[in-house]
Amino acid sequence: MKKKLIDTPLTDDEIVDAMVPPVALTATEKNEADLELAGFRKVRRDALGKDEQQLFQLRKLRVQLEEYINTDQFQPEKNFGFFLGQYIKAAKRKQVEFAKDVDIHRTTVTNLLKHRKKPNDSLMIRLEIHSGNTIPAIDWFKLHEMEKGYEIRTSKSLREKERAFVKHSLDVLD
Amino acid sequence: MYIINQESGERKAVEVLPVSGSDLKRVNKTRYFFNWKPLMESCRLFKLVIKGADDILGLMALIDHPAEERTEIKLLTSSKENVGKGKQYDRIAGCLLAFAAREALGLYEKNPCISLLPKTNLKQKYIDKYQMIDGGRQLYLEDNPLMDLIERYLL
Repeated sequence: MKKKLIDTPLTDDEIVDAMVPPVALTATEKNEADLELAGFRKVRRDALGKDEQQLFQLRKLRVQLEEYINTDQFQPEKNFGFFLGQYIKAAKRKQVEFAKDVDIHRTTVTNLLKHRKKPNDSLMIRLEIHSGNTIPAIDWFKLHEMEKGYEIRTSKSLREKERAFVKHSLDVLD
Repeated sequence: MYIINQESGERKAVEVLPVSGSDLKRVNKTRYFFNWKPLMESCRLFKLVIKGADDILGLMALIDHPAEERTEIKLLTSSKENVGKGKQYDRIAGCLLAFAAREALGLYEKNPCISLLPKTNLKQKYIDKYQMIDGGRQLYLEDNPLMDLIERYLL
């Protein structure tokens, strides 16, 4: 069925595919609609199981992590340890519980969180499995890679340390 | 976030940006169906453009309701050439809705939500297309269904 919308004949499907047209309600009607919506939302929230809430938290974290990776702008405070901490929180685990879940020592967890230890491939795969595949290992890898790239680009101490091992460096003009 | 050229199947990366005063000078009813200018006062207006391009392919007006942790989609449209059977690009409205969902996610910590007030005859169509939840007179998305929309269009 064709409908007239601002001089453009469109089917209902075509409208929904392309727009949200305005609906005229009085202030009272809108208030009533808002109260009604709040009621529907409360019923839904009250019925939401713990598993669904946890899945929501993990999916939120995945979005934050992937958006951050896509910026390709590493921020030192948003390192692997930061996101691991967010993950443990979203998974509603204590550090000790998480360490047991993924079979690593609790000290390792502390060191990862405090940026004193770097993750290995096994941990990234275990994180994917632990999250029920909600956060893929490749996201953790890309985060780690971003951090590594930042270190390689900016570390003066590493350059000083490695300079001692290089002889006859090329004298190239900039 | 991308849209698809209906003819070639080519994906185009897009971004959603705030509408500026100079953008509004280019926004008219002929191409964007509705009168957007008055909404500048009461809403946050956003435009969808192909990355690096200037042409506005979609517009959206949002109203925030912080007390309810809800962002309302007051008005949304694709540009005229992207509406109907011969449309040039697909996914414009979906990308804008998902952007609204991402905004709500950033604004509200516990129970972020987006909502819209549909024309009665279109309500079921929005439920079918975007898996929106029936909230009486309005439709909404929150928790995992909200994430479904974000993952479908933004990731």
